[in-house]
Amino acid sequence: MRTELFVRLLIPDATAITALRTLKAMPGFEGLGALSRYDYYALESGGDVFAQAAQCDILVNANKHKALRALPGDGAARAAHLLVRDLGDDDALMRRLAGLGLPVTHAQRGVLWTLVARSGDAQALARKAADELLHNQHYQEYELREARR
Amino acid sequence: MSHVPRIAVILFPGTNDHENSQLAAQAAGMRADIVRWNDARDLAAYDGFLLPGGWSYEDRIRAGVIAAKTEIMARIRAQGKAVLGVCNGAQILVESGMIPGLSGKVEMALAPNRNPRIGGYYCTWTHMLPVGTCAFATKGEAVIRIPVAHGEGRFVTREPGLIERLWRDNQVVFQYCTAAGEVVDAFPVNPNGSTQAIAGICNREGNVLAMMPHPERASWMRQVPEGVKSGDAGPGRTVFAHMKAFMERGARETRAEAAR
Repeated sequence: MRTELFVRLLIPDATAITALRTLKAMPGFEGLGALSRYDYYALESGGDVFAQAAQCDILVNANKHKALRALPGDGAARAAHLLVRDLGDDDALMRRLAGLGLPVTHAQRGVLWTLVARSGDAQALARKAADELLHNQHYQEYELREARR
Repeated sequence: MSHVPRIAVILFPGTNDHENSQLAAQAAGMRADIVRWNDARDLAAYDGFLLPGGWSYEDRIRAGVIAAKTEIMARIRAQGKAVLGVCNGAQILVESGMIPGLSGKVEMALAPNRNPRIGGYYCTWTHMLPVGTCAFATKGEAVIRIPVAHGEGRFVTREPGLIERLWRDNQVVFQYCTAAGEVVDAFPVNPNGSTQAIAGICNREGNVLAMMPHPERASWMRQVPEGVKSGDAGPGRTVFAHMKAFMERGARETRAEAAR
């Protein structure tokens, strides 16, 4: 069974703010309205491990994070979700989680960016942001994700 | 009157090696000013630039990528002068497309280390061999004892044939090696899993170098673990000495052209 965690900061996210400011200073991002960021984890195991994982402080620090089971819809028709992952980065995380007693057989991590467009095509804007700032194709990959409806 | 080369050591928010770098450049006989990233001064007065180590913009998104998008990097690129990027400075040069600089696009990455001993940040003393000639090194010179200190120092690319092309065009400048000068593409000699144990790459013209090891932290013998505790020049000084000589040659050639 696959369990996903979307972990967001409860405090202001300086990385997301910097990414938004940087993109808005680049040509072609005039239509970008907002940007937020989640740490993303996908865990394969024999059952639902969300509750255990959400208490695992290498993934979720309760003092500053909140873990969600699914991407929020955000009510934004013009939102696009971009998942950026490092290639070949999964084994170390699985070993660390297994070492903490979390019964996972496979683990993936990534960063999920939510871009909200004020105008134009949010998906196209997200692809452009991925290509020009949010991912480096030489060691990362990205995919566009659907939000919960 | 001889021209003393003058360089700008660029300080981004989060840079922390600017003063070390300034001292090392001065010890090699250069004039070195620390210039903030948002300083609007004319860069034409400088013969070269040094992008020091640290954590520019806190490594937000990826190491070096925010600094790579700043206006001062576009101005430095436009100068076409000597540019040395060390550690985070190397990451900035790679993310800006100045290294290897073949297409103007981002052609490589300095990816997170692959190290069997520890994940993330790793610091240790290494050796590196000059295997290419550029403004900062000469192929065949002695092995350089030098430290590394980074979490993302693994040169990688998904461009087919790029590494072969870099070798063919003399753009691979340094490789990690043993004390005897044998290049070994395996830990611990290669401390971060970098492709072919590459530690430094220059652009095609040879005036821009991105290197992960820190020459400014091996500029005096007192900094080197096995060194005598003296103020003599350390093995890393050679990188700055080459840079100075390159800029002096450039100044001489410019003056000779002007006189013709």
